[in-house]
Amino acid sequence: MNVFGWKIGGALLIAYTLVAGFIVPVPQLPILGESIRNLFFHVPMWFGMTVLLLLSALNSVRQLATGKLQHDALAAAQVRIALWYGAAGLLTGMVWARTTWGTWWVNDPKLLGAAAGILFYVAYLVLRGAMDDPDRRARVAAVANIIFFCMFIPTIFIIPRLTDSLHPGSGGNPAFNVYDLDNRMRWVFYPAVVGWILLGVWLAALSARLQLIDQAATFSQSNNEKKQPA
Amino acid sequence: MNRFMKLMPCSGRIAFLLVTTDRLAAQTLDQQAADYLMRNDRLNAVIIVLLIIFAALIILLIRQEIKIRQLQKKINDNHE
Repeated sequence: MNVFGWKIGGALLIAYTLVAGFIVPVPQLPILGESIRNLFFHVPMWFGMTVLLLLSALNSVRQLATGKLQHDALAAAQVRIALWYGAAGLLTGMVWARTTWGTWWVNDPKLLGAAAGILFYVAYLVLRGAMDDPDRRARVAAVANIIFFCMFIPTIFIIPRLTDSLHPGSGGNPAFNVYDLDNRMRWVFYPAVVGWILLGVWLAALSARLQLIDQAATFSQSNNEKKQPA
Repeated sequence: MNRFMKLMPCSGRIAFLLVTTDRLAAQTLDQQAADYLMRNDRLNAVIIVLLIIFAALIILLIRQEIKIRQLQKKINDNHE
């Protein structure tokens, strides 16, 4: 049961932030108002996505170094869960943008970068799904994953800082923690980030293990068919 | 204040008042809504519903985890 520790811990952290996120006092700022509570739910999605993609890139490096298929399965599962986090981050961001900027979407470098970053990884999954040979698929997907991660970081974190942007933390526009994220909010925000990251790692591990079981079942089925004469 | 009134034309004053009162009213409404929800225990109901849904999802995940472990154990036993 001790293996469950960090998984249950992550779930408890999220449960805590679901409660505290609604009741903790927040600074009443112009335009933002109570919508600043979105910080507890929107930003952890992107943090979780970035950490999962980093872990996925590291698993791809391990796959290339060792040639073991389980690293490829884990890398792909982490990308899949990261994409779900990215979709949730985009949707929660759109709702927040509607409340504060008055529109669901603006062609802002940060938003376009996030959309482009998600598309890189959709391309990774399409590329990986297009190959049948497991060894070749693992090697090609690992190289693509490392390249996409190297493209993802500048697209989402560096380029928006170099130009004008509406999004906090970009283009000279201060991030929340400079002025607004007071200490009461930190007590909710950091547990939320850790909790969502742990949940993402758990979900990805479950997905990868299911994929490996499926591969093992297919392998043993084909072996049985070879053994039995027609 | 007099200097401010002299410097700003009448239309500017009206625009300034419209913008600031709108923002102030919005903030007051936000705060009133939050206070109302807290005072009447309405927010507690929302939080409890959220927690129930989240707990159900986590229980589902734990069940999946246990099932996957059993399957992995079976596969390992078959290999041995």
